[in-house]
Amino acid sequence: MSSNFAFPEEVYPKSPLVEVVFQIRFPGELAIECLRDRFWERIRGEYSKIFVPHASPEKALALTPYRFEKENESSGVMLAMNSLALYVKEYQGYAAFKDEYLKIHSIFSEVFKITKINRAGWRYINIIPFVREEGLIPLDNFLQLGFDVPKMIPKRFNILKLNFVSETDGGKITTTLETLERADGSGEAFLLDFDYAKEDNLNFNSVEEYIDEGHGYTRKLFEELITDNYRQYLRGDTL
Amino acid sequence: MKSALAFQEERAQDYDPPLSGWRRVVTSTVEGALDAFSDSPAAAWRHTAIVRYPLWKFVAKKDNDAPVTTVTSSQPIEVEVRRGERLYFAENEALSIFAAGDTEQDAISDFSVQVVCQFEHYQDTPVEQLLGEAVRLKEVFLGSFKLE
Repeated sequence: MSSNFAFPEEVYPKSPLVEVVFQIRFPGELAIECLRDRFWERIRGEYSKIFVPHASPEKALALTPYRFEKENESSGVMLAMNSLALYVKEYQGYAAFKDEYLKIHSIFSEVFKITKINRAGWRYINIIPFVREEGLIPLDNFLQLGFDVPKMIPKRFNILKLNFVSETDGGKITTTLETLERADGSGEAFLLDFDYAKEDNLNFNSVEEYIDEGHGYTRKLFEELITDNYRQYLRGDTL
Repeated sequence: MKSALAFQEERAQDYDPPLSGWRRVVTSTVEGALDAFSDSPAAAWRHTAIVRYPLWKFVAKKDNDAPVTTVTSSQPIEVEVRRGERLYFAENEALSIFAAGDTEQDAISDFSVQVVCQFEHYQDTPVEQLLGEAVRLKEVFLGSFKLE
């Protein structure tokens, strides 16, 4: 075990996770622009689809990642001049995710001579569909938010949009909780999005430790935020 | 000058308040497909054909003058909602409930009413008067639901 952030890994059969991402960022490396094909050649057996970045006025094209995705679109690798990421839409649990990332990371380090990273980040994105009760969001069925609002603001929420950044030991977690609605307005869900990042004193060879930390913090936060009722549902203990 | 109501409606959509020299703190994020691509999970969810909702509380009002009846379940009830060509359907096979409505909300309301009606029916019907599947359903309804 590479760190103290191990968390009992239970893969919920009814998990609301829609995407998990681990990303490293590093000082821009021009070789990535020239040798992208060599990297893809090593992973194209699994990640056979290529999505090229679209030009946008807000972001330089070289910093917008190429996306190499599996044929069934369940996961992919994103590569830009200053970042590498693995994203998974059909999450099979932490052990599988970590193994896959470390494999990609190893290939990446063989193809490109990157020695320094300046950011390691983990993203844990959940979409939790809900049905209103008496016209209001039944937040208490799903989440236990440990803060109070003044009595003048009743906890009878109609729309939610919360975003906060918390310090951890050496990192930060950005938590976003907001309500989404379907395109035809017919249904609603919570977006519960955790974004963990570590930026100081990073070492390219310690990436396993960072991935453990990112997972450990976000999973713990998720477990502490959800109610026992909702956990029961996630475990498939449902009618 | 616009009315306060009109102001609120605008604000609910795209209103960006004047910040008078201040600016929002931008947090750096791990870019996932969620942010960067049109086929992101959030975008995909918005167009998904089937959604499964956990429900714990079921409310029925049989007519305008009738009191509201509320039934709660000790276990979450998973309601599968899908869109048909003209109607929405809300279903749970274990409870043998198949509801429909013009909107998703209507289908779920119909589902809720059926849960309450079934619960009352099985509560009022002695087991000797039931056969086969109905015996199982009586056990399920009386074992998992209660009147609030």
